[in-house]
This record gives sequence, structure tokens and C-alpha cells, in this order.
Amino acid sequence: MSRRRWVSTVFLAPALLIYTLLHIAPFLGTIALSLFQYNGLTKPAPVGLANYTSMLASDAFWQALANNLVWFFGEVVVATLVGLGLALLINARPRLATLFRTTLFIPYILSWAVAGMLWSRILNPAPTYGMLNAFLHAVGLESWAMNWLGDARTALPSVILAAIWKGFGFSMIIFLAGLQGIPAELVEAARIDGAGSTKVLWHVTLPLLRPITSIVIVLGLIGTFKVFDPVWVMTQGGPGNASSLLAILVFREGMNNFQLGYSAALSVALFVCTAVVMALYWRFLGRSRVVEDD
Amino acid sequence: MTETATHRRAARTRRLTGTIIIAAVLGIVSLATVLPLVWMVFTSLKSPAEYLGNSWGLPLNPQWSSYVTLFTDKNFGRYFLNSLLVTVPSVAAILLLAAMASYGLVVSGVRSRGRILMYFVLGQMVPVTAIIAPLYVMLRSMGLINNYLGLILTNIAGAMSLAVFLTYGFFRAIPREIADAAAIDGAGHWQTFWRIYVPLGAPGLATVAIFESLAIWNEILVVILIMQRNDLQTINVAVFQAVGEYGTDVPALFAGLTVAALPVIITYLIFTRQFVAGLTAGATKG
Repeated sequence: MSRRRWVSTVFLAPALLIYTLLHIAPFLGTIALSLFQYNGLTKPAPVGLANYTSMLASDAFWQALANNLVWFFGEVVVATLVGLGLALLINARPRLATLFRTTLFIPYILSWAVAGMLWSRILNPAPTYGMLNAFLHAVGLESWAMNWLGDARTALPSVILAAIWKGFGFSMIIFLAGLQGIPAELVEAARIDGAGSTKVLWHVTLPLLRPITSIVIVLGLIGTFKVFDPVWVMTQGGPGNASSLLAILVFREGMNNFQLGYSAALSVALFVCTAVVMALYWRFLGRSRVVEDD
Repeated sequence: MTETATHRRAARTRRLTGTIIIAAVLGIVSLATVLPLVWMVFTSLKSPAEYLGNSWGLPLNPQWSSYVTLFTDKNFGRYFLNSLLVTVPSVAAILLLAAMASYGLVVSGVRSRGRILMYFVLGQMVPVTAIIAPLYVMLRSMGLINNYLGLILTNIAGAMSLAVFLTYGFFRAIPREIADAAAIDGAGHWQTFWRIYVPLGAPGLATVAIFESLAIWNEILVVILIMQRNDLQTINVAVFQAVGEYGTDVPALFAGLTVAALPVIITYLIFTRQFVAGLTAGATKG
């Protein structure tokens, strides 16, 4: 028994060590650092909760938090619905279904460096360079042409548009897996009872997909607080704070303004948002697992 | 009799038109989805002069000069190598450490197993954005900023939570009798680990490998945090950090994007099934 414990420790040690040292310890460090003022050079000065009070008093923080919510409703919910729609179409098994599925998933595997630069070019204000404005000119809608990423009203929606393009493939694949799990007999039985395609969809398919839908939406909500890449590549949060998200503020305050203590306080806020949603999700998952066991 | 036959034929025609419409809709959406990527590749094959006059059409005089410029003038060989030098060792180490930890969990006592697994899973609640300030300070004090090792170690630490969780899920399903039989034949723990658990747990390790390779190859945040020197950046960071350098040379920029995206797209098209399975498992089992 003690030999077994020894073996177990040896095998676990490298993973535990590196994970503790460079993931858990820095997290504890975040909490500690959030109580200091530190510019990265001079000695850190303890300031109590001052970083938190100035965070809660700053417009940039509330704007970023609001933008995170906009991101959730604009990106996560829309991409999920688009993915659901496409999954239903592919599941009808038309010709070339595999080709469509493979193609539609491609944006999801790209890096945000590639996707973001590409969309920055599509949304470029000059008609010669930007695909969208050139299209609007071509169809006679010049007045709709905009500086999409440079205008405070359109910057965040534009990044969200790019993120929907990049993201819907994920929910599509998850829904397809869910659809394949629906027993054919259920659909068959409904049809024998005289239900048409719309009725089957509404009364059989969609209700059975409800658990998967919640999972996709909640995963998206958790992911929302981590979103960094698309905004950083396309607008860096600008103009002003118009498109900035919590993660952008964390990075900008820490790495550009060298307010490492303040950045840490923002990190704690970001962690709290993630942790609350995740804890709710685990409770929800735990319950559905219990239901499955019955 | 004939009535039902006509009926059936009508139903079949209706279903056929239905699937044709569906295929048409999917075809249009698929085309619209890849259109930006097609435009990217077409543009990369134009000369800057041709791009100004013909921004949207097919390249009339396709040429590779933009790609050549990337490697001769823009240091792309180095960036590509940097990406490999970071991704390959990171993923190899993640697989080894996660597999070892999972074996450690399998052979450990029931009570400590639950506690240790929970300790790993809790890491999922801490995204890297929640630790960047102290991580930067720590790595700087260890001299690991602008250092491959610093980036690799950070990648490993960040991946461990999910990697152990996924791998252990597969290791747990391997029947203990096989390991017991090996032990009777005189196999030590190290042999049991390599000869039984690693091969039988390979599907789980493949999932982790795909998920982490893509995540690390495409990573931006951790790279700009740790690799602040331009010549150390990975291809996916270099291509947008240097955007000012390209000025109006859009074909060169798009050639850069194509080089950064192509390895991923090709791998995906070859291993579509494994790729999709790996990515969805990684993203949903967290």
C-alpha cells in the first residue's frame, strides 16, 4: 500500500508541480497582487482595496462588462442558432452533406490572427480595399458604407459578425452529434401518427435537443469572459473603449499601462464572473447526470 | 393499389425537391463561408499593381512573388520555425505528463484520487486572462520572458487541467485485470504504463494532442505576453503584429495569412473526423 502510494506520487509529481507552479500559484498571486500598487519596477506598495474601488468607479470597467454581455447575446446566441439551423439541414442528409459539414467547420479551426486580419480587410473603410464597402458601392448603397471598425457604434458589432462566422461551426457539430443520438423510431412513430415535418421538428426534435442547447449556450457564456483574441486583433478595444472586453482591459492595464495591481483586480473580477457561471453549470450538469442514472 | 403507388411516388418527389432545396441552401451558405478564404488565396497570388486594379477577381497573372518575399524579406522562415519549436515540445510534454498523472491517479488510493482530480479540474475555472500579471512577474524573475522554455512551460501548465481530465477518463476505462496480469508476468509500473496504458489510452491522448496542437499553434495572448521580441514570435502573432510593415501591399499580407493558416487547414482536411471529435471533446468536457 505504501509502495503504491509512492508510485502514484512519482507519476503524478511532474504534472502537479508544473500545474501548481505556473497555473495555481499565479492565480493566488493575482489575488495578492490585486491588493498592491505595482508598476513592475519599483517596490509594490500595499493599497488595500483601492484597486477594487477605483475599478468599480471606472466607466471603462462597466463598459467592458456591458460589452461582454453584448458579446454573449450577439455572438454566442446567434452563432448557436445558426449552428442549430445548419445542423438540422445537414441532418436531412441531402447530397454532399459531408462536404458541406467539412466546409462549414473550416472557420472554427483558423487562428484569430488569420480570421481577424482577414475580416479587418473586409471591413476596411476604403472602397478599393474593403470588400463590404466595395459591395455596397457596387449595389448603389454608398450611403451605408462605413468605417466599420473605426466607428464607436459599429466596432463591436463588426467584431461580433466576424466571430459568428468563425464560431457557428462548433455548435453545428455539437448539434449534429445530438441529432444522430435521437432514436429513429421516435421520429418514425410521430410520422405514423400523422405528424408532418414541421410538427416532428417542433414537438420531437427540438425538445430532445434542449439539454444540448443549454450546454452550448452555457459553454459560450463561460467562454465570453475569456474572449480576447478577436478584439485584440481587430480593434484592440477601440475606438476608445467602444469594443473593449474584460480580458482586453486586463491586458491593457497590465502590459501597456504597467498597472499590474489594477490589472490583477480586473483579473479577479473576470475570475468571479467565470466561476459563478461555471459553478451553476456544474450543478446543472450534476442534476442532469442524476436524471440519466434513474 | 395503383392509387397508393401514385401516392407514394408523389411523396417521393416531394421529399426529393425538399432535399434539393436543402442542398442548394447549404451550398450557398458554404460558398459564402469560404468566400473570404478564397479571396485571401486569390489576392495572395496577385502583384500589388494587379490588386489595385483588380481587387476582387481571379488572379489573371498568378505569381508566387509575395510568398517568396515573405521568406526572403519578412523573416517568415524564422516565425514558422518558432511556431514549430513551441508547439511540438509543448504538446509532447503535455501528453507525457497528462498520461503519467492519469496513471498515477489510476494506481492511487480512492480518496486521494478524488481530491487530486478535483484539484486538476478546478484549474478550468482559472482562464489564463485571470493570471497574466503575476505570471509575467514570475517568469520575468526567473529570466523566462523572451524565452522558448517560458512559453512552453506556460503552455504545459495551462493545458494540464483539461489534459489530465480527458486522459484519465480514458485510462479509467482500461480494465484493471490487464494490468494485474502484466504485474504477475513481472512487469513493473513503468512497463505497465508504457506497454498497456499508453497504447490502450491512445484515443484519449489523440484527442488531447489535436485539441492542444491547434490551441497552441493558434495562441495569441500568451505569446504576446512572453515573446516580446519580434524575432521570437510565432507565425500567428508575427503576421498581425507586423501589419504596419505591409502598408498597402495587401497581397504580401494575405500570403502571410495563407502561410499561417495552411498547415492547419491541410491537417484538418486529411484528419477531418479525428479533428472534429478532438475539438468538440476538448471544448465540451471542460
